[in-house]
Amino acid sequence: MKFFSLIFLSFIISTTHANAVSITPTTVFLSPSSKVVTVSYTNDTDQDINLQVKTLIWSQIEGKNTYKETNELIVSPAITKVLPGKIQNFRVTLRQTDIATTEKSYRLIIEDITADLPSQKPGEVTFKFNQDLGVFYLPKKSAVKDAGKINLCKTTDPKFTCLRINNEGEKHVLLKNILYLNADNKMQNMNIFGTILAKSFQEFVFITPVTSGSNKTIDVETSFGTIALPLKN
Amino acid sequence: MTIKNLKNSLLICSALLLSSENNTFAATASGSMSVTGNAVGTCTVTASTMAFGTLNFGSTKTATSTITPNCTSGITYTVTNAADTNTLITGDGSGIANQVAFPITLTGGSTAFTLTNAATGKLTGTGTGEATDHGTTLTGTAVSASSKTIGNYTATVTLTITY
Repeated sequence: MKFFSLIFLSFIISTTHANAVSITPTTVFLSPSSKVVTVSYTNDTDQDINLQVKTLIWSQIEGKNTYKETNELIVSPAITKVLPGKIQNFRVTLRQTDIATTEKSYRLIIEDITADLPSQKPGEVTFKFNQDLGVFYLPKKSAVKDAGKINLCKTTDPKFTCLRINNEGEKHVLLKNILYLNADNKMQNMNIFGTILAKSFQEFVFITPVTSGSNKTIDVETSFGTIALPLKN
Repeated sequence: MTIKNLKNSLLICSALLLSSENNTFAATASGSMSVTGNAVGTCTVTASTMAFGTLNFGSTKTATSTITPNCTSGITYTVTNAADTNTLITGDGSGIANQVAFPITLTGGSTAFTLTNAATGKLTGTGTGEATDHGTTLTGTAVSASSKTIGNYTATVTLTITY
């Protein structure tokens, strides 16, 4: 079934975007019941693409993303060439799956290391893409407690609003978006998103929106629901 | 009302209550998070070639490319330039005489900005699940080719897509 889905997917891609590359899934979830996950990379360009994989441990310390090279995460193949029109599958797994008590987070970076094309025309700039995916390993026993807080934090400039999401749970949460009713009473999408790792916090600073009438709130869309948060006066 | 909806309602109520209790402090909403299903999806991205053609002597020259990420509905993505600066080169590119800088700006949004790997120099978006064009224009501005080595100049730009 997966095989036919991939064929169908590649057909759709080829009919809508020439010279495209695609990746699926965009986030990898590992667990004791799903120890190996396949990531598929489709080369729909007319050139060979050489890929190299890099794995990093991902943590958030004092609200800052930090990355450190690791061999805890195994990805195979680590280096490969993808021919035009072909799909390359990467198998992703953990070297040791019983090491965590809370969710562990990693970044899987698939780098396009193709050499510059000798066929480029004078004055021409071509583009290639690195894919940077989150990888999460959730141990069986850790999905017990999920808790967190959302609150406004201090900013030095009153034109800006600071939103702090404190994830006290054992699984990452997503900030999917921030919405507000604008002066024309239309819902405005602020296109702000992010990931808050287990036992971590993140702060999001943005220009304070001009909201409609007396409705001085923003809707914070997260993976644990939408919360209406009053703005400061 | 489902348990999930009830929880959401409680969270909203608690946020409103806390904000009305003391307006001088930041409002806080807290409560239990319900675990939701895993979000997986597909993203396809393409960028057309940026063709400067013959570079100008004594003036800048611009060329454009359209970058088109198409992602499954709800999948968020960020596109950054893997390098802070981009340069057309001839030969082995060694020495400033063999290099022509072309900073890339994004002009598709309300405010143009330079595409870099810095926190502010990025293109962000959320997939809609439709095969529609979410293209954003990348504009490269090549500096004057005066005092540069005569030759064929080319470049490859690596963009990083973070999900």
